[in-house]
Amino acid sequence: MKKIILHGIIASALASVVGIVYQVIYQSALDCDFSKVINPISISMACIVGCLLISLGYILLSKFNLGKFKGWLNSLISILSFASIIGPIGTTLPLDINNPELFVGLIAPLHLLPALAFFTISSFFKYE
Amino acid sequence: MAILFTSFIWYNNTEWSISEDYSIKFKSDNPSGVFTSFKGKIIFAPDHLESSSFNLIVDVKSINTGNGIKNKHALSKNWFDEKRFPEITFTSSQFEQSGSGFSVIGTMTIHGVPKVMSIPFTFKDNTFKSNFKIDRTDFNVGSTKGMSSKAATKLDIEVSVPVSKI
Repeated sequence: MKKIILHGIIASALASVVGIVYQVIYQSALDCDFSKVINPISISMACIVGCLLISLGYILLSKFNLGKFKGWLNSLISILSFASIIGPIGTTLPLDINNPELFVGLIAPLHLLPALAFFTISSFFKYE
Repeated sequence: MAILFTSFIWYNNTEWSISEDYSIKFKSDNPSGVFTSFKGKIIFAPDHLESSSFNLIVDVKSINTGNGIKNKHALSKNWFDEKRFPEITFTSSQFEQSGSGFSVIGTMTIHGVPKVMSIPFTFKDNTFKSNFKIDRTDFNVGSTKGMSSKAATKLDIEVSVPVSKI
């Protein structure tokens, strides 16, 4: 269980760093500013929550000895990550934020980062 | 005498320049938003309404609903048809004192459809403020069928235009 939590923590740190770097590059390249609704702290918090939720799924599989369903869990995580992009697409931003059409391009990849980071480093963590 | 005459002319034609911190908001359950580009010529003297005039232009492309997809949709043929009708204009024809404020009668043109409207407003501390309603169907903006029926037909308009004397 400790290994799974450590996996989640390291994945969330990795996802946070990548997310923050992506936000900085995206906003400077496209000359937009969404800092009122998304900032390094909110990115980090979202990555931590996302990765720990994935860890929780793995812990439950481990606890109930359901290792054979790992593939299904991974599929569910991927599907939910993609599905969660629908939220930002429909979001109405504060009206003083210009170029809201660029918001989805910033937020969509960020929604995939927790799963991507978790799966990327999963081969470094061996647990049943 | 010449000085008196000159000052009379000046007072009768007080022209105001629009400050940058103006706001033009439209509100309803769905949609709400702002127009961020606005220009025009404002000549207004509270005591000389007969010589006052508004010629105002709103850039349709500057609409912001807070959602990129909605913005794009608002500019499409189904709604404002921004390519054919890039501007919303208002040209005054008459001013009236009404209660503690004023009202201006003029022609509002949206989506190429002109409509004579009476718009109430106040003028305090060098700021024009107005709240009024617009029915989008009067200007053939969008329809009331299909998905468009979810968009409110009557929208509250809130205008605040700080000005300074030219």
